[in-house]
Amino acid sequence: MQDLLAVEELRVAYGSAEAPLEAVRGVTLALAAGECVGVVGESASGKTQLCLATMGLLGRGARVSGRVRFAGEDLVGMPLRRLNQLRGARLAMVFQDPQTALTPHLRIGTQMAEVLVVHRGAGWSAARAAALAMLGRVGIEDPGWCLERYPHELSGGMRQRVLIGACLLSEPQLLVADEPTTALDVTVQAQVLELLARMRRESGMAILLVSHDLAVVAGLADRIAVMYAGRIVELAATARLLSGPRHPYSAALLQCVPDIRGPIPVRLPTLPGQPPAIGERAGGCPFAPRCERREARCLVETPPLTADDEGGAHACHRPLPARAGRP
Amino acid sequence: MSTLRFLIARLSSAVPTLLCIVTITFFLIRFAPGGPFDQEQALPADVAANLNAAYGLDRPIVDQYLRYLHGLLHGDFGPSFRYRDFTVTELIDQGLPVSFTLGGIALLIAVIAGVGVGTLAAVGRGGMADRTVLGLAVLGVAVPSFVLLPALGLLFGVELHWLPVAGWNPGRVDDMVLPVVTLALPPLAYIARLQRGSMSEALQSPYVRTAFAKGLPLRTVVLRHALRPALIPVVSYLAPAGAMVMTGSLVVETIAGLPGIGRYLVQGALNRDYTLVLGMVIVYSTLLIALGLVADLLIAALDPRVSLEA
Ligand code: SF4
Repeated sequence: MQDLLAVEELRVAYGSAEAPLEAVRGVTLALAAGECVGVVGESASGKTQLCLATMGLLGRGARVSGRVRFAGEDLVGMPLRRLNQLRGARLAMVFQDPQTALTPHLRIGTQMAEVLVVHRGAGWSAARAAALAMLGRVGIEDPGWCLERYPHELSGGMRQRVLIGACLLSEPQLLVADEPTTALDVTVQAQVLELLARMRRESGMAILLVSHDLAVVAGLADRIAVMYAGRIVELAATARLLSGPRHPYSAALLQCVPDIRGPIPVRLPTLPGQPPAIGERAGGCPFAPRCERREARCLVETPPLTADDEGGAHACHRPLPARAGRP
Repeated sequence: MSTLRFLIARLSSAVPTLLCIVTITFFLIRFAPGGPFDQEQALPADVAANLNAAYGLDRPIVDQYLRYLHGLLHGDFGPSFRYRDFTVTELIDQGLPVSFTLGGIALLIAVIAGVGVGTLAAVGRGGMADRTVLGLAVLGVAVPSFVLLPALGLLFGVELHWLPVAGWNPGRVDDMVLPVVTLALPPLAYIARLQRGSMSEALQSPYVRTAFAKGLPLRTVVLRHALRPALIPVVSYLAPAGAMVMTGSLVVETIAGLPGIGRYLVQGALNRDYTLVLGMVIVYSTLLIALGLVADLLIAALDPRVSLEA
C-alpha cells in the first residue's frame, strides 16, 4: 500500500551555506492513510520544522532537501499554486497557540467558511452553514453565537476547537497537529485530545501529532517517533515504546511521565542537561553528553537509525535490551 | 462606549485644547518685538496712536484677550492688520478651499499610494517594489519641498512643457499636479516605509501562517488577513502626515503662487498680523485635532479588540 505521507531524508537548514544551522538532519518517516503517528521531543528537536515542511510552510530563509511526498507528490519545491490546492484541502494543520493562530479582525464564521469557499468553490452562505454544523461537531455549545464572534471573545479551548473545526471542514486526509494542547490548561487539554480522537474515528483521517509531552501523544498515536537534535532516535509502536524503550533518551522521557495510577510523586524526575544548540552539533551521538550508557565510540561515531526485529527502529550504539520494561 | 458618546466626549475635550492653543499663541506673538504697524519709516506718533486705538491695541492686554475670545465665540476672527480691507474670516474663506483641496488630495494620494507601494514592497521583499520604496523614502526625506517643486517645475514645465510651473486658475487640474505631488511625496515616502514594516510583520504573524496553511492564495492572505492589522500604524500616523502636508503647503503655496492660506501663516507672523496668525493657528489646530479623531475612529473600525475611549 502506498503511504499517505512519506518523508524521506528531510533536511532543513538555516544560515549560510558555509555554516549551516541544521534544524532537521535527515528525517525519514511514513504515515499510512488513517494512521496516527506521534512525534515527541524537546523544543528545538526539529519537530515543528518537520510539521512546517509537511505543510510547505517553511519561511524563505529555510533550505530544504530530501522529499516530503504526500499521496505520491513531492511537496518540496512544489509550485505554490499546486501547494495551495493541497493544503487546507487534503492536508491541514492545527497550531500550538490558539491565542494568536486566528486572525483578530475576522469573525469565526468567515475564518472557517473561507476554507470551503477557496477549495470547494462554495458560496459564502453555504460555507457558513457548513461551518455552523462543524462548530456543533467539535463541541461548541452555541454554534450560532460562536459563528459571529471575534477570536478575542472566545476562550482558549474554544479557539482551539474552532481551529480544529476549520481544518476538518474540507475533510483532509492528513491533519498535522503541532503541540495542539500545550497552550491550554489541563482539563481543556484532555477535551481537545478527546476531540481529535473522535474526529479521527469519524473521518478516518491520518494525524501527525507533535508534542514535547509523551503523555499527550501516547493516548492517540499508533506509533511514536522520538526526535532528538533534528533526528529520529527511536521509532516504534506506541505500546512497545512505552513498555520497552530501546533508546536511552526515550527511556529518560518515559521517566518524566508521571504514572497516573501510582502515588503522586514528590518531585517529577527531569532530564538533566540541555539538548545541544543547533549550531554546536558535532560528530558522535548528539545525546552522548546526557547519556548514562555512553561509551567511547558514542563520542565519535553517530549511530544510524537501524531497524530492530520488532518493527521499530533506534539510533544507539548501546540500546537498552528488548522487552526490558521500565528501567 | 458607543461611537456617538465617544464623538461627543472627544469634541468637548477639543474645546479646552483649542483654548490653550489660542491663549498661548495670543500671548506669545504679543511678546514678540515689533507691531503690526511698523514700517521702514516710523509712523508719526499721533497716527500710530490712532491706529492702535482703532484696533483696540491701546487697551490692557488681558482686556484685548477677552475681547478676542468674545469675538471667537461669535465666529469672528477679527480684522486683519495688514490686509486692511479684509477680516481674517474673509481671508480664510477665500484661501481655505484652495489649500484644503490641495492638501486633501495630497494626503489621500500619500495614504493610498504609500500603503500600496509599501504592501508590494513587503510582499516582494528585495524585489523591484522594495527598492522603489527605499529610494522613495530617501528622496522624500532628503529633498525639501522648496527644492523639489522647482526641480519638478523645471523638468515638467520648462523642459517638457507638460504642466504649468506656477499659477492658479480655479478648476484647472494641471495647475494642481506639481504642487500636489510635491506635497504628497514626503508623507508618501514615510507611509510607504511604515506600511512596508507593518506588513512584513503581519506576514510573519501566526494567524497569517494559519491563513497560508488553509491554502488561501497569496492575494487573499494579504488583503483579507494581513492588511487590516498592517494599516494600524499608518492610520496612527494620519495626523502627523497631515501636519507634514500643512508645513509643506506653507512653502509650496508661496513658491507656486497659489491663493491658499499657507502663505498667510508665515506672512502673518512676519508682519505681526496678530489676528491673522491666530486665525491660521486655529484653523490648523482644528484640522489636526479632526484628523486625530478620524484616526481613532478608523483604528476602532480596523481592530475589533479596540474599544473607543475618550
Ligand atoms: S549512542 Fe551512546 S551516547 Fe548515544 S544514546 Fe546510545 S549509548 Fe547513549
